[in-house]
Amino acid sequence: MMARQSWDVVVVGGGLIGSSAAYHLTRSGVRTLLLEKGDLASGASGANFGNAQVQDSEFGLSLELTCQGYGLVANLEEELDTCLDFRQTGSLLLIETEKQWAAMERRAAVLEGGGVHSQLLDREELSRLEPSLSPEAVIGALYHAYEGDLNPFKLVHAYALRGREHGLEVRTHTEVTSVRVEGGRVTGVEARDPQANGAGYIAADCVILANGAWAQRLAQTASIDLPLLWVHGEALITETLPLLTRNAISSAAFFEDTEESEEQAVGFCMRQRPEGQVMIGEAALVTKALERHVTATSLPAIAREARQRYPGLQQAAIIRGWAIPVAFLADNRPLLGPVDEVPGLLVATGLKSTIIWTPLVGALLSDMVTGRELDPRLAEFSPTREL
Amino acid sequence: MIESIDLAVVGAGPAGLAAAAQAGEQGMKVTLVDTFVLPGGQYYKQTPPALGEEEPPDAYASQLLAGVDRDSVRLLTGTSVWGLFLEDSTGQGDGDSGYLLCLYGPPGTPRRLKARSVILAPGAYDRPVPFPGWTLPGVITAGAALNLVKHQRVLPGRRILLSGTGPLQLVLARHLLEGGAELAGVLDANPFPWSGWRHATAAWGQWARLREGWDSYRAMQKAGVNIRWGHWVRRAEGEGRVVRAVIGPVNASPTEGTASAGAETVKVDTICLGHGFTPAVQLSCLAGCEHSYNPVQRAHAPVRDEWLQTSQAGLFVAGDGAGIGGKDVARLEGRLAALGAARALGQRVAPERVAALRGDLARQRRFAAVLDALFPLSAHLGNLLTDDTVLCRCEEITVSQVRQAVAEGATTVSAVRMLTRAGMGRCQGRMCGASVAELLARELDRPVEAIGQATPRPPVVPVPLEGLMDNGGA
Repeated sequence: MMARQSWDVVVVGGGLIGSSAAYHLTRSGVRTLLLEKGDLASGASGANFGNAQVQDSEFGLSLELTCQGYGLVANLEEELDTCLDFRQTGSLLLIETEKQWAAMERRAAVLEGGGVHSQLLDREELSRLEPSLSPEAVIGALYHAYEGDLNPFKLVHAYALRGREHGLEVRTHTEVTSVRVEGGRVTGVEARDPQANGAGYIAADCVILANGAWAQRLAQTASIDLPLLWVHGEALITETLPLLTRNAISSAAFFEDTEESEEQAVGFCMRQRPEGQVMIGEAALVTKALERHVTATSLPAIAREARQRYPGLQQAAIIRGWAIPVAFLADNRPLLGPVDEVPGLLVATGLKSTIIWTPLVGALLSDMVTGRELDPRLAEFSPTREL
Repeated sequence: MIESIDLAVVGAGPAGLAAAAQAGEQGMKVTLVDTFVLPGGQYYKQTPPALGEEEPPDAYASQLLAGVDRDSVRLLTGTSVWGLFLEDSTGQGDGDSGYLLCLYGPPGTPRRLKARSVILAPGAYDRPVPFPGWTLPGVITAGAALNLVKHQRVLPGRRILLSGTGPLQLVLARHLLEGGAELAGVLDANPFPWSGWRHATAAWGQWARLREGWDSYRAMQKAGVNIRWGHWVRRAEGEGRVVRAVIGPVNASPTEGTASAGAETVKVDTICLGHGFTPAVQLSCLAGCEHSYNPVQRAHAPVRDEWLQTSQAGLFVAGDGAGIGGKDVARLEGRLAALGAARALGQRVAPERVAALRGDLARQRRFAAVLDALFPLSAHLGNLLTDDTVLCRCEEITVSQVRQAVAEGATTVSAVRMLTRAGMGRCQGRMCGASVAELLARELDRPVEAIGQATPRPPVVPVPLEGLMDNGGA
């Protein structure tokens, strides 16, 4: 049987956003092909900690959509009829300086106004909630009781599996090398794969770039410059440990204004998987390279951050590190929507906390393709906005 | 300030010891690193002093061990190498090309080392062959058993069954018998090596090895133990530990009934599995060396030039870590790699020395190839697998879970890893990587080499969080 070579939509990138978009499009009756250059979830989605975070959202439309997103994420296991290891847990933004305390106080007030209840904990309250944490390392935390996490691999595969049941075609190990534009609009993609199955030109009315940091290069093949940035992000994981924490941990320092720098920045975030392994991040270096090697300097830097806050981890065996380009935008808002200059081209990347956006963005992309009416405020996420 | 040396040799087995000794003779500044508390590797493993003195196994071994006591070679024992980085990728490049090694060892051991050249001599580890019950306590590998009985002076059990292939089983059988164990049987998955005579020329001159094999064989004969060819353990049974082994011909499927397929039950308290070895390629993979699949040994190994240099300049691999060849291939490769490293650093290397080494090496490789040909890894491994056979023992992932992942679209070891957690545990796929790849190949009807292997990431061995620091933990 000849593989179909003409599609309504080609989605590029088999990660969280791409698989969600492909699933939602297929459910809406759109003939969709999902192309992934490696395995499903083998890019930044496979390096994701799995956190469905409300607390670290940007304010405004982002916060509104994030709150909506949480409800959708909490309902995913039922919708996809698949175990995703979803858990409802708390999250803690660790506060280390008076300046951070003041910033978190302001943040809590705005979150409260947006319907998200956060609680400032002083050192003593925090010690009771998080006994493994070294009290000397912090002066308090912003605590949010209703966040969650799930297994990102399982989510991507569940979308692909359920999508296939409705006619979605998924081709892994197929790399899209360029977006084809003819007569000013998208007419498909050029692809290659080792089995030469589905390689060459694939016609499509619409192409969605959902391939993280790699979207930049592909957009350039359609003469579009995305204002996309990315870091070489690195993290590590311990062997299975007894329960250390049920909370998603990160540092309030993430909200401090950071200069774009040539230096590796080291923040702190941590999440214990339900299986007991503890993921600890992260070292980040703004880069133009798309590499995934772990560097010699990142692991000790991350280890130092972890040991200072959780001294009990000192002797925990570290079994693996990993590194991946993680896309972001200077204004911390995603690139999401059609590229006006090239009809038929859409972009969805640079989401600050991807899991919580995943079901919502998939549905929005489907609405964009099928021409349903959209919230006009979404224009603030325009892929070609000035930054 | 990170210490800078000419050459780092990783692994102090036959290859690493020979490499360090040779490099020392060349006047290079060498550091030799090994995980174990004493040098020797697996072939020349030394009994720890607490267990009494032991004569080194042969004159060559003592010579090798003595060779590292020179002023030019520093030995770091009890020390793991968990990372190997090209100097440019560390971002601390000072114009000097070379490698950065990340070490973790006893207090006082440097945590980082810069070396202009590196010889990896990591050796190999026992190839696990999964079957129902192989994770029961009492089922161990032949390498582990040999280590226990020979070096730790501990019998792994009283009534022991050997299952696997090749001459290592004979050596193990003799040591177990000498230690006072009862052998419940020795099973070899391959047919009797009738074709051995065809390789007589390659075996010519291998008197010591042939002698060792013959002595072992005689010891077994005296104890009334015969090798059963074309047989293996199909299932290990017991509550909490192995008490019975179901054995049978290798070409029968696991579901075939005991009587119909010629299977029988043997009472045992220990099973030793000796299906050969897998090269330890974690560091060469991490350093980005090109690897190729060896279809005879059914394993990936680094690609090397005539100096045993990999695709990364200044990085050499010697010994079993580049494909299983045994201790004599290893020691010659160690010497050759050291000369290659010396040459790369601009030293003069005597051509007649190199020619002589290459001649010896070709002879030893011919003999190693005979063993490969006579005792290959069985092509019937799939016959052993039932749905509930554990493949990944760290995360307890079974055959049916991997098959389910394949049904959901997984085509690579990495995809299976993400979907099932096979290979995500403490050993990071060392134990299950090959088994998962073989199963995938069968399920997808593709050659194993098309499946690929998991990508090692640092730390390539488990290291305490504190051990990642570059300054001794301060």
